[in-house]
Amino acid sequence: MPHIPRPSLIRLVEGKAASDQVPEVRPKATGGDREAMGVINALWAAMLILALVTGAATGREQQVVNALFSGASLGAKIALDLLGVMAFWLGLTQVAEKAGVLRILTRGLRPLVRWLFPQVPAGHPAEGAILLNFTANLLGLGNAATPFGLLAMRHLQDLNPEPSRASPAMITFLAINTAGITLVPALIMAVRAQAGAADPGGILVPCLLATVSAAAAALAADRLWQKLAGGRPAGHPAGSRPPKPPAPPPQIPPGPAAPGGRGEVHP
Amino acid sequence: MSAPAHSAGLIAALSLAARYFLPLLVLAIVLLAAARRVPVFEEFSQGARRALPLVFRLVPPLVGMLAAVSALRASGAFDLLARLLDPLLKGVGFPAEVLPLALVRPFSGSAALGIATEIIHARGPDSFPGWLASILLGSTETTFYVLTVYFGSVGIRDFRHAPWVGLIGEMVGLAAGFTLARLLY
Repeated sequence: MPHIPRPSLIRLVEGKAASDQVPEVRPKATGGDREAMGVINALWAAMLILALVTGAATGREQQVVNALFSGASLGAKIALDLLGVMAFWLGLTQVAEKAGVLRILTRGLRPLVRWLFPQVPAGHPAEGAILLNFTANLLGLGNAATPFGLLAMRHLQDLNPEPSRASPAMITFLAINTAGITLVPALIMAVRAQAGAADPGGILVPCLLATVSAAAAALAADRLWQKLAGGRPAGHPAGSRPPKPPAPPPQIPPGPAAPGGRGEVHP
Repeated sequence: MSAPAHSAGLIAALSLAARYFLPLLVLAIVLLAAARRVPVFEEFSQGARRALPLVFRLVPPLVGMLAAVSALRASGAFDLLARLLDPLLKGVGFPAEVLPLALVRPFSGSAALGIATEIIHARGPDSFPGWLASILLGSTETTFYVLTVYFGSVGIRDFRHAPWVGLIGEMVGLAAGFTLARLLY
């Protein structure tokens, strides 16, 4: 299986995780990334049908058709107009990466990860993968974040006594991941800049605060759930092993490549 | 948007942070890189090249969503929706045209981007709907997509309470985004 080489990122984590290979993310043939397409298919059809029916009912069918075409060409124009800001930001991100910003963030986040994942033994490869995933997400490196996220899931699966059931650590990992904490949501900033906003970056702090609250709420819900479920409480003393030691290491199939990278389209 | 007096200080602090966050971040990156002798412009150019495929990939979803939402706006469906939901939305001050965005956000990043872009362009980036759409877009993640892909990659069938936890995060993110958008507008 071919692996995506990410040498500069991989060197960050010393120890075992460094030698780990990053799971392949199959590049997707079609348009957007990170879709759950069923809902979107239904919604898109519903929007068009609703527009055409309402337009006919209100006698605005001509305007609706015109809007279809003008909207389509505006969409293409905007997509290409985003090139400038996105190129600038991705360039700056690479400079940050080479300057060691990832390493600084990774070091700063380690205590947090220890606290969040008491079930993961210190120094376990899962820890390194989780750290890299969080850091890459924080910097808005969606592309790099997905392979590390999938790698983290694989290592968490190694610690999971029931291979078909989500482990507490996995749920915590996804609770944080789905909150989408990012320092710089570059695409939104690019859209605002392209539309001539007075302050394209004014959304950064509100977005950061909103995503941090979302993560905190998700985490609180997760802990409460685990406590109420009566199972293993989330808060083992740091470094302790999970109550049920995994019997023989579960046979992990080489995870089917994800249908798409999280990311290029970063919120 | 009027805010209670006691939170005026907090809002001022937030606005200040919002104003200096980005310039300070860029400054810190460039200073650190220069101090570590990173060949900044070369690295910059190499990173910037990654934007091309990204932007090309955005064309189909943006075209599809902008066409659909523009048509919906031209048909008058938004006005109808607003009148229908008036008793519900009026009290909280949530613009009806931003509703589809909140619905789509957990499922697809690019579809949500398309809808938000249409609002930002039709109403202006500095109008309240445009401002709110921008913030809501950055307030959450494509929760259900992430759950499916991550659990699917290791063959987990029983998600246990993970979807609920994700949904709670989604709701809190959107609510917090909306509250902050009102406070800071």
